[in-house]
Amino acid sequence: MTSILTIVFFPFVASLLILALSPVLNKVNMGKKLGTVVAFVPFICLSFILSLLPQLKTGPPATFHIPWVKSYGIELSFLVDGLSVLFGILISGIGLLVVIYSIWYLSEKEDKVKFYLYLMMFMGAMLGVVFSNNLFGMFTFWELTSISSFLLIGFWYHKEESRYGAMKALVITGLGGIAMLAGFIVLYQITDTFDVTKILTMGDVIKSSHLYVPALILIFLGCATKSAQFPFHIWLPNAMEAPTPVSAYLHSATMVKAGIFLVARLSPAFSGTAFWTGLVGGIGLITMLVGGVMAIKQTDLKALLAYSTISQLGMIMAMLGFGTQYSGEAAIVHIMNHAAFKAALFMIVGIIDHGCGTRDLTYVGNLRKEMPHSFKIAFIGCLSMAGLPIFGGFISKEMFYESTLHVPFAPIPYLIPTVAVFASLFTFAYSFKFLIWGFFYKAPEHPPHHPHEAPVLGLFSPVFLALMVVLLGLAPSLFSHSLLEPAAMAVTGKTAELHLALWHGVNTPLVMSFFTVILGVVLFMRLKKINLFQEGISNAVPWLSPNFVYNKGFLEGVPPLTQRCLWWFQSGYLRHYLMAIFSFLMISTLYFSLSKGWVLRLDTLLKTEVTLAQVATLVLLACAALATILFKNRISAILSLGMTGFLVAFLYVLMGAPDLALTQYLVEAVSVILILLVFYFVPPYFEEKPTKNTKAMNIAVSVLVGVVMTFYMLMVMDSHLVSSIASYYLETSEKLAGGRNVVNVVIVDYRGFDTMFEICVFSIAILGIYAMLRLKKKAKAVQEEVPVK
Amino acid sequence: MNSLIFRSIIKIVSPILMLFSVYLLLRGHQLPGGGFIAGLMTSAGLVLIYLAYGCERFDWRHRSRFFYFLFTSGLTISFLTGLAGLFWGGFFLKSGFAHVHMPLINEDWEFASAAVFDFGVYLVVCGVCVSLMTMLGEEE
Repeated sequence: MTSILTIVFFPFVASLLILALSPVLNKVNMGKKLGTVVAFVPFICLSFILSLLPQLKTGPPATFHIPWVKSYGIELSFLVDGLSVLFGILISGIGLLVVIYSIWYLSEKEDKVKFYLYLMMFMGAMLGVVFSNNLFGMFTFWELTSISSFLLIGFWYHKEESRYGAMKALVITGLGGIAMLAGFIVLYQITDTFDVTKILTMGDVIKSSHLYVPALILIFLGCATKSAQFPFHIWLPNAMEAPTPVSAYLHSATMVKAGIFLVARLSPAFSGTAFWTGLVGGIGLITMLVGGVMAIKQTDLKALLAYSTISQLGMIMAMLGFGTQYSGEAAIVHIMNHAAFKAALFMIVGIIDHGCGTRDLTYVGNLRKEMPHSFKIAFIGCLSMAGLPIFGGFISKEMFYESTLHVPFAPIPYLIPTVAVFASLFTFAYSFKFLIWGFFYKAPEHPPHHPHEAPVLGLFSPVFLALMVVLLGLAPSLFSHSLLEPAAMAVTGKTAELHLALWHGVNTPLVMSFFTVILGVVLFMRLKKINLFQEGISNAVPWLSPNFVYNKGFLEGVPPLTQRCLWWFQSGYLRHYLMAIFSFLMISTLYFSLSKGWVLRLDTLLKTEVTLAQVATLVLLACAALATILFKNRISAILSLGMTGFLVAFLYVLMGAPDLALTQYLVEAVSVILILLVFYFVPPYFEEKPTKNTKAMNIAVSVLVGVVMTFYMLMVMDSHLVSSIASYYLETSEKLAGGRNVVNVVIVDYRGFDTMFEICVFSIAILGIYAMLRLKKKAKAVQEEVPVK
Repeated sequence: MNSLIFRSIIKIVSPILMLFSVYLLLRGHQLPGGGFIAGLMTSAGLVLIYLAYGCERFDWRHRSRFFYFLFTSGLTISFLTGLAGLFWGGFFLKSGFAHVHMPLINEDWEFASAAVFDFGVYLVVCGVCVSLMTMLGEEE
């Protein structure tokens, strides 16, 4: 199974290589070379994935795993089945085409190193998502796709809109990701495993569990945010600020399908309930409708495609939501179709943008003469998107209609098919708006440049994709047997046999298609009036859009709120922090011991032997502690504080703990000196007079600490309450770690991870102090420079 | 603090302290000692030198880079030990040890991967304490 490791990690290795070589690459003028070299990465991945194809039909799904955190069942494991291979082919195949396209698209002055670095990182992450067999591994890759998408949307970070779009995408998909993580954990409560293949076999257990609904809602939140489902779709149009190859790749063909992928992946275990159909199917249909309605009013071609992507994603989601075998197969077919035509259309928009200097329909129009090749590709893509015959889109649209006729748990008969046809009208309308307005109608204004066609390098990828669209329509059997059937099997859990064809005879779906075309033409004729009407609505009720919630509610509401919270508990006074920490610690300790029903038993305490030396040390200790708070002079206070430390160390000696004593002595010695150095900066006497309230608070907290700790220590001494782990360490330290000094063995062997983090904290603290002192110095220097008036 | 007596004592004491700290570091796995204690002891020795001689003998400011290097390399060493555990032992920070018979002195010596980790801890503790001291001292 080395091929699967190559598939997932090769892009990461490539991006690391680009990163490592970036100092060299940035210096030389590489022209188109870098892109050409990078194109080999998706090519190699693609060929490895294609080599997995033959085994899909013959054997059961293959898995492969590397243990990671064994004790929690978290591992890096991969699953090769129809669904993952289908997505793998889409990711690496379209990745290859996008890289080729980007060689033409990116001009000389763009930062290509960064572009390909992010792009390869994304590709690796996305392949990781689809091949993961462990929910935690999947989550990790999932978040990586969000991060790389953020970086790619913000690729032109000097533009305000890019930064806004990148932030929006990260906020929405990130929040969804957190919800999904919570959902995975809830799912773990039900199934007791993170292994996807095991979870898929436990469908009955999951569906009958009382945690089914929360788990489904949380996981679906992650999927819906990622796949831009209503009302989380608002990030996708803003993500169009990314360079066009990125939009074609991430925001139409692959990343936005991650949510679809996860829904499809988990559907054998989750689907088949009324709740599933209502949630996934309902949200899907609403998204399809909203996306379509929004798409027809766009004049920016890329925004139009963004909303159309939302609509199409909603359609796929709806098919998965219906949960029948047929609808699952239909979803798979449409995933393939949509990826092909939408990526081609995006690339055409990129070519138009390049050729005319804009992609707005107010400036761009009547391009069929100037851009004959682009026109042909757009023609094929748009007709497929509209669901017209001889193209792939027609087949899946028919399948969609067929599946709406047999939706289980449908509330009202004929409601879903009607909604489906109604939503498809908009699909038809925006497809034709793209085609007719862009290539036939004359635009009201002139574009900045005179339009010109792209060279062969730029046309290669869209032509290839258009060819695929035609093949998907005319010869679907090329794909159906080897690729789509295994994928459909993974989604539905049953053996699938697809009979894809353009002509099925006269049946209900064909009639529905017929109505769609007739009514779609009517809608398209009235488009200008409808657009004006839509404009009127969005001006009259701006709060109707989820964007309003994001802009006003989130961007303007949350930062002040968090700032206020932050100011409340980050007051900047050390004493406040100490007080909060100590009171929380004491209250939680008290709660814990009371909830366990621990009581102080005097009879065992009285039996404890105390020597005279111990008592004497304790008395001295109390005196030193009292002296610390009574001294008015800081130096004396510090020294007496050090005194308490040394006395505690002496107590350790008396009780036979040389390690602790040694550590304590050294810590005290060093810290007293360091504190003295710090106190060079503060006045020698305690000058501020605390108010009565502060004093009372201080006394209350210190009394609480004293009382609770005393009682807690006394209770812990009572060996009935807690079983000691000391004996385990004493017995095994030499056998397991080869050391006799148990204290040290615990530090470096048993609890090495703790120590690792401790030294990290130590180093972070010193970096903080360094920064603080440096800043102070700088502030001083600035102050001295500014002349005093 | 920079009296003649103090300075003379420090001249004798600090090398002993340093040596003793190395001794503590090496025997840590078997007898009281270890990286944390040894690091503190070394820094205590350096702090004493600083108190006695200030910036006369050592230019601490120029050495501060060296101390930053100390704790970063300590962190690296500890982390690499962890990675070695991942590669040879199966998981991060897995420790291993071996008893090797020493020919001339005729004794079994214990070699543990944890000792390397402990050395990293030693470097971090030592580097952090002394960097802190030089930073604060620099201000004066």
